[in-house]
Amino acid sequence: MPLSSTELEARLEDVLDAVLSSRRTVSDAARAIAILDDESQTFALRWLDSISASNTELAYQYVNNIGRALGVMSRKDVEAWIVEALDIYDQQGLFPASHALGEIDSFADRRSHADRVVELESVTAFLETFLRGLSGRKLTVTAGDTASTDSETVFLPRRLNRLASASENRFLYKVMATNLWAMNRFGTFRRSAPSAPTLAQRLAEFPDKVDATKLFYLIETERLNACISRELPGLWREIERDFSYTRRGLFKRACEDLARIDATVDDTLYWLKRMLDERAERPPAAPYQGSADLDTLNDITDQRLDTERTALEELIQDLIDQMNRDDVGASGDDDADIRLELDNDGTVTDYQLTVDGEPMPMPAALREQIDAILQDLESVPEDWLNPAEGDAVAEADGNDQTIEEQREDSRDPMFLYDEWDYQRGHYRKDWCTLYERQVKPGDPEFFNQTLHQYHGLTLELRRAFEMLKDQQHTLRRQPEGEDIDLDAVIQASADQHLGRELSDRLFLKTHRQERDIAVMLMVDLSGSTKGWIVDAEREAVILLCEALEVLGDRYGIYGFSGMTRKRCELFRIKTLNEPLNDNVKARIAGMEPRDYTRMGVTIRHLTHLMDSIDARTRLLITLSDGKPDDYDGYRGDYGIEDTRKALIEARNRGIHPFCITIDQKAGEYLPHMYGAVNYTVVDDVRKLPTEVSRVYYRLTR
Amino acid sequence: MKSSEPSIADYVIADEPYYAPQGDEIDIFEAAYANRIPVLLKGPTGCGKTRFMEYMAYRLSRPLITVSCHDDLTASDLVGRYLIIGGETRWIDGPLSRAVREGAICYLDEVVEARKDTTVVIHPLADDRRVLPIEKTGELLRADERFCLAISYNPGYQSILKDLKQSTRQRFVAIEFRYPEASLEIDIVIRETELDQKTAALLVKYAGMTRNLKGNGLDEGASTRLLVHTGKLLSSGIEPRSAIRSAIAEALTDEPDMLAAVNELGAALF
Repeated sequence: MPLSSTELEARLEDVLDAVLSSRRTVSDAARAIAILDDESQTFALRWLDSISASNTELAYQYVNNIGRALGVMSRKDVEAWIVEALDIYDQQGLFPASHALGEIDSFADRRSHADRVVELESVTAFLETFLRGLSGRKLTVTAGDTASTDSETVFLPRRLNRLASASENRFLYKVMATNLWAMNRFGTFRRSAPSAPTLAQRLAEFPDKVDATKLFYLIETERLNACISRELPGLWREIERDFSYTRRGLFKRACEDLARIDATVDDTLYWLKRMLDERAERPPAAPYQGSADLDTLNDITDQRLDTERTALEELIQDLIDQMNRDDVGASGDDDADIRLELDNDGTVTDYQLTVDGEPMPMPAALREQIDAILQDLESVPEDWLNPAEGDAVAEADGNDQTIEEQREDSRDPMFLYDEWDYQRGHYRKDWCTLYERQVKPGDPEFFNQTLHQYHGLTLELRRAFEMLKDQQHTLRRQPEGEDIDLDAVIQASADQHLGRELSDRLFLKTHRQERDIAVMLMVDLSGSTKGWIVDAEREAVILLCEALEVLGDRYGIYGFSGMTRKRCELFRIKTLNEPLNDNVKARIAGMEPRDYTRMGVTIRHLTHLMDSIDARTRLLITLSDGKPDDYDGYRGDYGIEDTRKALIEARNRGIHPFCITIDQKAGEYLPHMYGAVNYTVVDDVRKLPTEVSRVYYRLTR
Repeated sequence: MKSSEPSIADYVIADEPYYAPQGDEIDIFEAAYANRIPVLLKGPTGCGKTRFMEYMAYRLSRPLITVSCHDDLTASDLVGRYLIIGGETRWIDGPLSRAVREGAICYLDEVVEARKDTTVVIHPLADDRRVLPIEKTGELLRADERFCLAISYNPGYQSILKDLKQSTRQRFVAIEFRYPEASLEIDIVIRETELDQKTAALLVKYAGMTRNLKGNGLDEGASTRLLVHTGKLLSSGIEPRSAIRSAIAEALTDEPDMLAAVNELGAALF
């Protein structure tokens, strides 16, 4: 029996109470839902609970639209509509998400063309790789309103359905991206010198700047097309086939001229002026034509040139230093006259480096640096090559400082991971930001003191683990093997003489039982471990290190903590390939309790790290003191389900997860997360140090 | 049972192999040879290390015994073993002992692939002692003065297990190989495949694109050897996009996204 509108209204009010007022009621929404059938109502109410868990206001927008949405779309499409809105909410916030919920008709329209829609997300990885291959410089691909670039990022529409099939739309993405790449590669924004006017300034000189800019891209696209046709003949054939159009009149003449191999953006600007002056006829823009956000682009370019100049100066200084070392007295000081002669014939730029008139082979790093600069400037300014000594030093020092500081800030590698929302039954995209942080080293002596303290136990562990170590022994009298078992042969020949049956077991075979194990130890450094627990964890890690060194298994150690999804932190104590040295020992001693426990993202990152390790057995061992828990609602079922999902992902990648915990209530949730046999509860914190090694022994025996 | 051992003369390289020098590697090798210092060739796969060895063997008119190392190659595979012939045991030299005895050049290709114990047997050969102790016969083999040991190694592998120990590497004169400069690589491709200049240039450009992807999803870019393979397929009339797909893209990666990108980069050129 479907619910009546009164019943529904009560139910909705119950959930949405916080955002309702006397003028903001749910009676209309309740009426719209009341006319739905039983199943649709259940569907609508189930999603109401999920959405209100994210945001109540969004849930209010949802109930106002769900009746109509279920009227025009299938339940499957409605689910897609909700999930998209939630994704937008996660990424862009409430307002755009509410807006998306209101756009039922356009969404339905898109779904009906679903077979030809290509989402940018599905081709981003491909496009980035493709562009990276075209030229070494990295261009990031991101969604934007139109196809444009700021010289480091390529913005493309979120989805394409302009053309009749998915494969054509995918091709259009590729051509758009290539066109934007060509702008960067073939000098649309290139200046003759750092002080020369930028493209934005040059376009601003036209009376109707907006119109001129529009026409500029139209003409420039033709120049870039000519470059693409030379550089990528295969792709160009396909572009011509799919997007050809006729060019007429003055525009045609411009195109012919811009197809010259040495045509530059100056030529485009010349034709722009002529076409404006003569009010020439304009063809429609090519579907793949791109543009640029010139203001952002200029800022980025200026910053990049600064960095590149510094890098170039450092490389040249290195070169001079090296020459002085190699050949004392030839030039003698830093006043070497360095010249770079460019031979630019349009496609290939060749250059010759001369120092004090002597030609020099160009070091690869220098060549790369100069190539990078030549993407932005027509030539490398003379004073960049021969920095006046005093200034250069002063400036370099000043720059070093800031660069060093910047490095400090952005030093820690950052990663984005999805998170599983069990209520939605979908991943939240790029939801968690994880930083790999350095650990502040503690006292390296702590390591040895601990070993000393557990002296008797260490010996016992050592002996036990020695037994596990791979043993290589020679098997005698084998039917096949790498060497002849002379004893067996002698006996066989005696047998032969005596007319007995001849054995075929005449070989020696080396039997190896190699341990091929990589283990990742994930140590809980949440605030709750403060005191006893973290001490025990440190000792446990030390004893386990000792055991693992005996075995020769590869192992990595990471501590994890975090504060909300924006700052999940992973503390690198030892990477898988790092030997156990004093730095590692100091870092173990430096493990300190931090904030909260967001486990899913940590597991995903460590899975990612282990993915590249080639070992027959890969183990992920978690040392924990409680349930997953974070400040922003990552607790209870949500945290457990996300952690479980992350563990399933790890298992799918061939990694065995295991958990060692001191939480006596772990039996309530660990079997669900790790599986019934993949965890162990240590009943006393003081036993943790010894227990961890014992568990490892059992696991890998 | 008769052993069909090839004679040492079979290892002599009769015709001059084609080799285009990248720098001063020939001079360095000759100087090292004259001073009886072993040589370590470093560089990515397919950049011409083996060809260089063939060329040097020809130039120095020494037989070249090449051993491609693999992870089950043991010390006795190099040194030799007892075989039973006609009811008697007989010692048969391995490739390394033969080269040592006969004054040949012994080239251990991809030496890090071999088992760890193999690197130890080359140690006494690789310093000024120049001896090879043969444990099983009790013989201490002194190297002929024309003997030369060369090993190759690809530092591009990221694995710690595939790294050369300092005690080994510090016995050698090291020569680094890279992929040749574009213009030289074009010449090599033309020379090896008889392609026209334009197609060869496109192939080399394509190789550059794949090398841009090294470390961004590809472990290694297309080597000169792969270009030569592709060129040969092209010369046999295979359609360019198919040739690239089979000879390069599929050889470089199995990962679908990467394969698509590598293929489409090729399609953008041809």
